[in-house]
Amino acid sequence: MTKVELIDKVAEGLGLPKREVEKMLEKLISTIQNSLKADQKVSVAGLGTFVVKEKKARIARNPKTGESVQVPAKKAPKFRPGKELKEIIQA
Amino acid sequence: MEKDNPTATKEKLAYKLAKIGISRNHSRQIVDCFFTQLAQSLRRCEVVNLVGFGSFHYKIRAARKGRNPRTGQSVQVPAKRVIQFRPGGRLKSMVRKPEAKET
Repeated sequence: MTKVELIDKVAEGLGLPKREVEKMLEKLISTIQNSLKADQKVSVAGLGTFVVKEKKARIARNPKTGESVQVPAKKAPKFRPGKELKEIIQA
Repeated sequence: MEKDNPTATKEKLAYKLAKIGISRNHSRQIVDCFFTQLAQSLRRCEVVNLVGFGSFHYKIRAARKGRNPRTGQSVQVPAKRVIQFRPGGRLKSMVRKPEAKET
C-alpha cells in the first residue's frame, strides 16, 4: 500500500475529499517525525510505538575491501509493534 | 532520554492535526482511521510504503527451539510473522544526529 492508496481508503471511509485527507496524512507524518526528532516516543495504541534508539560508534569493515572504517555514533528510528498488531498479522 | 520527554500518543497527534482547522473530534477520527487502515493493510500481508517516513514489511520467523528460562524446559516456538519497519530517508536524516550532551 502506498500513500495514495492509504489516502483513498481513508477518504472513502470517512467520506472526505482526497485533497484534504492528503494534507492530513502529510501533517500526521510530519508530526510524528518532529516528535521523534525531539526524542519523543510516539505510541499508537493498537499499532505500536515509534522510538529513537541511540547507536554507539563502532568500527565496521568494508566488506569489499576489508578495510576498517569508523562508524560514528548516531540515532536511528525504530518501530516496536504492539501486541494487537503482532496478533493481527498471524494468518 | 525518556525521563523529561513525554510520549506522544494518538491523542496528541490528533491535537496537532486539529490545528489545520478541523475539530478535535474529527481529527481524532481521522488519525484513528489512518492507523486502522495501516494495520489492516499489514494484516492483508501487504507492504506499506509511506515515502519519506518509512515502510512496513513482514517477515516470517522460522520455528525454533526455545527454553523456558525459569524451568529450563525446552519448548518448541512456532514460526510466526513479524513486522519490520524500515525508516525512510527523510525520517532517518531527521533523527540521525546524536545527542550533544552525552555523558
